[in-house]
Amino acid sequence: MASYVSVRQEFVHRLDEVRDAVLTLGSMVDKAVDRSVDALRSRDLGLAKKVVRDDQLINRQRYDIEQSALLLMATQQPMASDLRFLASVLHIVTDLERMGDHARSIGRLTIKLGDEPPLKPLVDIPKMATLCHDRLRGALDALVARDPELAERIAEQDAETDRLQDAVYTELLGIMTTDPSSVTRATYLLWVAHNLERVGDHITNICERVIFAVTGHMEELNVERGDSVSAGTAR
Amino acid sequence: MATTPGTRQPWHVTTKLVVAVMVTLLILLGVMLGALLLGAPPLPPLATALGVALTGFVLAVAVYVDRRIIGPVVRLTRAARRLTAGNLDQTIHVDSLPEVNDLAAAFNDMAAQLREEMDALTVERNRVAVVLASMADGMVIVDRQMHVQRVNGAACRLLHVEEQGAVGQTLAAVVRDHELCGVLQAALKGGQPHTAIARLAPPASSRPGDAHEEPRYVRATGLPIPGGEHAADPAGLLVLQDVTELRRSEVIRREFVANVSHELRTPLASLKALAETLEEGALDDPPAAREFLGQMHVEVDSLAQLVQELLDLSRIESGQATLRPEAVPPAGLAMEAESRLRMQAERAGVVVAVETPEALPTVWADPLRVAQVLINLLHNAVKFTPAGGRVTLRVAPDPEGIRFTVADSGIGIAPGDIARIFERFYKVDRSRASGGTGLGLAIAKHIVQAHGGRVWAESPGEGLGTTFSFTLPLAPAPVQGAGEGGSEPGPDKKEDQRRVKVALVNA
Repeated sequence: MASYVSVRQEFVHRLDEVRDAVLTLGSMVDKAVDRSVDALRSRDLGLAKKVVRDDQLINRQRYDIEQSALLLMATQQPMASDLRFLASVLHIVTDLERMGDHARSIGRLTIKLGDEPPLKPLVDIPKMATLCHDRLRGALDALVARDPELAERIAEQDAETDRLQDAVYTELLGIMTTDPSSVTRATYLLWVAHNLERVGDHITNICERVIFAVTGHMEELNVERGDSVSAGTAR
Repeated sequence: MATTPGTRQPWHVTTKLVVAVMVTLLILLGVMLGALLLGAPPLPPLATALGVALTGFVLAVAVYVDRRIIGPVVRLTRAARRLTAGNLDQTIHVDSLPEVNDLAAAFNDMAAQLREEMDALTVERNRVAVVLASMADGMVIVDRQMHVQRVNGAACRLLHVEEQGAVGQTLAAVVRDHELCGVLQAALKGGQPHTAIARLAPPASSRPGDAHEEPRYVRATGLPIPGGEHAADPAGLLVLQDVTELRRSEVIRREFVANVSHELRTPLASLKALAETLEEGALDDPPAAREFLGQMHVEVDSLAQLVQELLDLSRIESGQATLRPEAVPPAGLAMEAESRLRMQAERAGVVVAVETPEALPTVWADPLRVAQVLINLLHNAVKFTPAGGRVTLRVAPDPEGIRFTVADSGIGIAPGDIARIFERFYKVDRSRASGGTGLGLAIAKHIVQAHGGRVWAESPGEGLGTTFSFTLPLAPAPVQGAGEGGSEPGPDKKEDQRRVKVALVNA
């Protein structure tokens, strides 16, 4: 009996370690997205290069978490909610790693834009980044608190990201049609908005996984979002 | 004796005593019956009496032992148990054998000692709690498994967490910033303090997508706490120093130096170019030479103006400039400033209107300095208002004295720039700021503050116009013959000069 309790405690401790590693990865990705848009806005090429470079660390952290989650599954035979948690972690780290890739893409686009004069003051793109930061924080809060309702609320906010992306799309299209010299820069900015929209989608996926880990129900959230804007662009 | 000292319940003791006595009596009876049955002659009365006496003696000894030894020991045991349970108010009085009395006395001493030590510990703990709570720096203490043990108020404010929710959680779940956690992890791994500057993630905005508040910067120091082997022992301390203000003033200083150099370099470069052109032959073309000289004059004037304004600013900021305040009618100040700007406004196609009520109390101000402020604000308003626009200068009573308002229908200011507009050299848009040193508003702010007034800017947004307002205090008492020093009431003036000095130092 006593030995069972300590084995169980040890296992719970290991689960906490995995969760903390996911939070660490979340913080790395959060900062990467935030910094990539910051670099774009302030034309800070050094910061953009750092974001691109640091993506490797994100990838490594993701593999480390995958390793420990698989090891726990193999050695501890977790049941029920523990098993669902570990299975969800495997998906969540994939989503987070993809978000890191999008931050890296924004960093590369910033480097490409380089010294070209700014097309327009950025308004909606920073708003998208702010929204991503808030939602990622909320999704991880839901993971820590095991709160499926919070996860659902956060997932619903994705509609706002899509709305902002549409606004950016319309505005940039207007600029491109009136001023052909702006096409290159406007296209880059469109790509930035697209990357942020994808970041938002990954956050919705994380919310789905949190709900699954807690309740055991797997449902696709926010399915009615319009994909007209992002159609035809590569992931 | 069938009783043992370890008995827990006194009725147990008594029961066992009674049983012992009964058994003794039964044995006695048995022996007597056996003797009768075996045909032994009946016991002599003496033997019977002896048997009864023996029984009585055993009973007496049993009662004595119960009263004097077992009872006190049981009470001691119960008191010791209560002590273990945390109830330290235990004193026990026993009347027993000397050994047991000694034991009770020793127990009382121990309880008293424990009470004292617990009191000292509580005082110490309260003191630590007060120090932690009142510290300006944030502190987080973690145990060996990286669970948060304590977190003070400053840390809660910086990290946007609640103390109750944070204690017992892992550091990563509380702090949510891998760089901050990394500082403490590095310190624990290396066994020595580790420091880094980190930008804290802003808290989630109340409505999704709303702009965040300004991010805060902290100097984070991780310190390992030596000793302790259990998982629950404190293992590390994370200290968070808010360096946001320090960083901001550092950035302002750096920008100031960069801006001064830039502002000086531009006119100097044109002067050099003009001089070179003259040298290379333009001197032989008198009309061109005259035009170049004229341009050189303009550049020299702008350099001189910049240097003059820098000197003004530094004098006002350091409190060396002396104001010569006097009672002035505010409407007159407004009218004069408008008349000096009228030509320029007409050229720009902007209408400047002055709105002032009939009778207003006089303000206590240095007319030359206030004129400088008003002209600067009007000049800016005209400069940033497209032709056909309108600038209104309003003078009105205010709880703080008299309020001057310069409202334009111009290009407006973005909310993010409003707070910085009074900084030295701050220009909202360099390409649009046609000329000007970028010092005007900084000087205006310091002049108004030196008068004891307030200055602020408002704009509903870009393209929607801007409103600059400032207040000036009222003149102290009804003053006869404003302006000429001699006729002013002595003590009042002294009083006000002192106040102005204070304001200058504060500015």
